[in-house]
Amino acid sequence: MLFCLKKNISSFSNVNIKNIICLNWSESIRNVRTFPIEWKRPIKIPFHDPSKTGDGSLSLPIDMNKSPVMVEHSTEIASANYLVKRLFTFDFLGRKYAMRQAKEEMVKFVQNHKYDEKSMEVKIAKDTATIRNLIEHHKKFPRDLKTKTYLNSLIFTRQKKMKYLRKWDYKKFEWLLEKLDLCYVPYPETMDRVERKKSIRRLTEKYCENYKTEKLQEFKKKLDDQKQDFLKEKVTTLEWLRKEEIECGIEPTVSESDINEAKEQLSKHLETLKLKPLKVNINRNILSDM
Amino acid sequence: MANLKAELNQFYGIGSQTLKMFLGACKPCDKKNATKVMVSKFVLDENLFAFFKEPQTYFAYDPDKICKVGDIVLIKELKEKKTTLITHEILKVLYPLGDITDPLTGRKVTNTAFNKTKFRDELDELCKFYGKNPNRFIYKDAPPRGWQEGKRDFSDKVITVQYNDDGIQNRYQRNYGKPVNLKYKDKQLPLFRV
Repeated sequence: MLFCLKKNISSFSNVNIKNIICLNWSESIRNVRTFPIEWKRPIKIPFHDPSKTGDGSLSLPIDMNKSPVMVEHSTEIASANYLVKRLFTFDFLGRKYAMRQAKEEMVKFVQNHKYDEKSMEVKIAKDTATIRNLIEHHKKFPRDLKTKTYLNSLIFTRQKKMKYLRKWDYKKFEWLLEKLDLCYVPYPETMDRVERKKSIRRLTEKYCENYKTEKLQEFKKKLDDQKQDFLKEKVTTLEWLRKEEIECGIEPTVSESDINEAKEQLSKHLETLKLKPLKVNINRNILSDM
Repeated sequence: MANLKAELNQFYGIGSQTLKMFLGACKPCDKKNATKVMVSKFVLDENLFAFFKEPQTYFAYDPDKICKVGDIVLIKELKEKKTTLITHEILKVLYPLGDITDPLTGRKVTNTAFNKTKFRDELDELCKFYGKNPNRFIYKDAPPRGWQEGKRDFSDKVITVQYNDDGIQNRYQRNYGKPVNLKYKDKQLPLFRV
């Protein structure tokens, strides 16, 4: 068994044969790291995370020291004692009423007119207010399963409404995303299972493509560096040829237009070097379904 | 009948050469000079003796990227293939997504509620009647489609399942990871088996 080990693993340059004898079969392989790719299994993100729901800002503007709109306009409370004023705040009424007013403010930010309640932009605004409120609730009470299921279903239905609005009115859809600070990420068409072997194969493909482009770009750069000297030689040799042929009394094979063309090529090449140095776009998206 | 045959020959071509045109919807695609078009065809099932829809995809050549995702488009078969994949060419964008026009009057349409539509001109009059909201959406000031691409709207490219945790956030990938088993979290497994 040991002889087999020696024969197989001695081909790797990184491994000392002395170490292999004292180690086990499995431990010796773990020390070998000739493979440059590392794969990490993606950890599950919870459903209420902003990267999944699409909410940019997850906080609602709820002030518990504020009083409701009906009370703010009354003249009697404006002249009342500070203790009476404090009794009519949301702190004593409850958080439910504060949230209700925040939802109304969010709807006013979007709706067409005062009685507009059924349009898609209003429905989405109402949903976002409830979602952002319930996410805060879910963080405090994660074992409240009724609200958890309600929240999960609301996120799905809001996505459905956004999809509907996108189909009917794309300009309004894009305007609404910025107004409510939302993101729209559709679901993938094909659901691939995340597997170890499959994802390592994908990463190797990506690595090989990047390696290939790097090598090609290096070779291209080497040739481009030789271009300047070559063009200078071309101009001098063409001039020398024309002068010699005229002196010998033969009809010149090289015309003046050929020399001018070579000079133009040289001037253009020098301009390109000054304007834009070569850049390599290695990290392009190679993995595609097609 | 003779006239009809002549007309048909003009349209379809004579003999083996045929001009084929299809109506299809654009799909997200990562190709540079082409777009993916999905065409639904009716195919006869001989056992049940009935027609069923079968989706079929084509790759149409457009280097300038005229059409966007979701547009309904007219494509024609090329006489010579560009590549093995690209066999068709885009003739016209018939119906862009999210800009619906009424074919009878030629006016633009919006939705006011679920499955309820209204002309955009009429909606302004209705807003005037009830009292306009200054924060509302105005069609005249709106920029053309595509100003939110890659920022907030991620429906322009193919979306895949996240398979590797680089630490870089890619919004065109969705996370469906399983919860990590704490038993095997710290254990360093071999990457390669010799």
